[in-house]
Amino acid sequence: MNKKAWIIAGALAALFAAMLVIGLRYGDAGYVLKNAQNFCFS
Amino acid sequence: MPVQLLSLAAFNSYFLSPGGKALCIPVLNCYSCPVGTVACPIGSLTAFALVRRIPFYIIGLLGLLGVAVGRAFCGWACPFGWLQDMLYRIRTWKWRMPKAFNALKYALLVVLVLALPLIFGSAKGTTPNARITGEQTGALDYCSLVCPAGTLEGSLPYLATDAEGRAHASYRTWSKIGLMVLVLGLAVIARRSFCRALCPLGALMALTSGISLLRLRTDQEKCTRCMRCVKVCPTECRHVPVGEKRKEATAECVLCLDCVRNCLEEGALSATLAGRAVSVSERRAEKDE
Repeated sequence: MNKKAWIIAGALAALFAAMLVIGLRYGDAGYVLKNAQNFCFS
Repeated sequence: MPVQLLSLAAFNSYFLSPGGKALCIPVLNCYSCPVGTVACPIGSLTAFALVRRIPFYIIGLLGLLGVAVGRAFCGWACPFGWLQDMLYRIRTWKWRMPKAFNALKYALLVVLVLALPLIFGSAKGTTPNARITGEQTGALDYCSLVCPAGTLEGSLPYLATDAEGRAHASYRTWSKIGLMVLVLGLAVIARRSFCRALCPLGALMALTSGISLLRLRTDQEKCTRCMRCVKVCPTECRHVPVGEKRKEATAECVLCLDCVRNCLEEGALSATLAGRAVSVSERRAEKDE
């Protein structure tokens, strides 16, 4: 991998990590779980 | 194959992980199914679009996985991918699907997973049974209208066990089942046809293909241009880099590494993760294959 590819991958990884943290902070994982349980008829 | 079987078991073992449905893993596996372990990213994205909420968690998680391993989940872990691989083993006439079909999945992602749920926001009720069969909800989204994985793992078991559900099944349910049969039939004659042409999750993960840390690398000095890797590629996406043209594959590459395994020249083709080789082709006589 060249330097440019590393920079792009690193920047995107940081962006996605930030989004993940924001999502977790705002309870997205709980919403996903609730939604999945609603769909599930078991 | 062993990895696919393990993932098939892991993603359908809800009794082992009852809290797993909070986790979005990029495999198409209906979480309406009682045994589904994790949450389907497409179903989750639709659910967020329906309430007009930005899915930070889903984008962040899928993005991170995409940057790390690209579409490797499609090639190694997706239960629906495994099913297609099995169906393609049926000996019959085979069809080489035109590459133009690949664009369909992006349209499905934009229209059925994002646009329509956003536009028709509060779909009239999302009661479990109604949602699974697509009945009486007014919902116009991928899960309700198209998803063959959902039909196979959610709708069919539900209809098989619930007489009331069967009684209320309408043209929408039957059209979903018909579509599922069509998709499975297509998988018999065209390899990984659903992944390439129809899977919105594949479309989503394909966006990270060009930037993932897991990638193919051809040693141009060792490569004999026998094109064996191109012939065995299940998604017909492999390019052999020549000179300045260094592209190894299109965004359809699911990193199954069939090309590496089938390469006859030692070290000519490898898979690298963050620059380190994780799988390297070995010298073999052609008759061994």
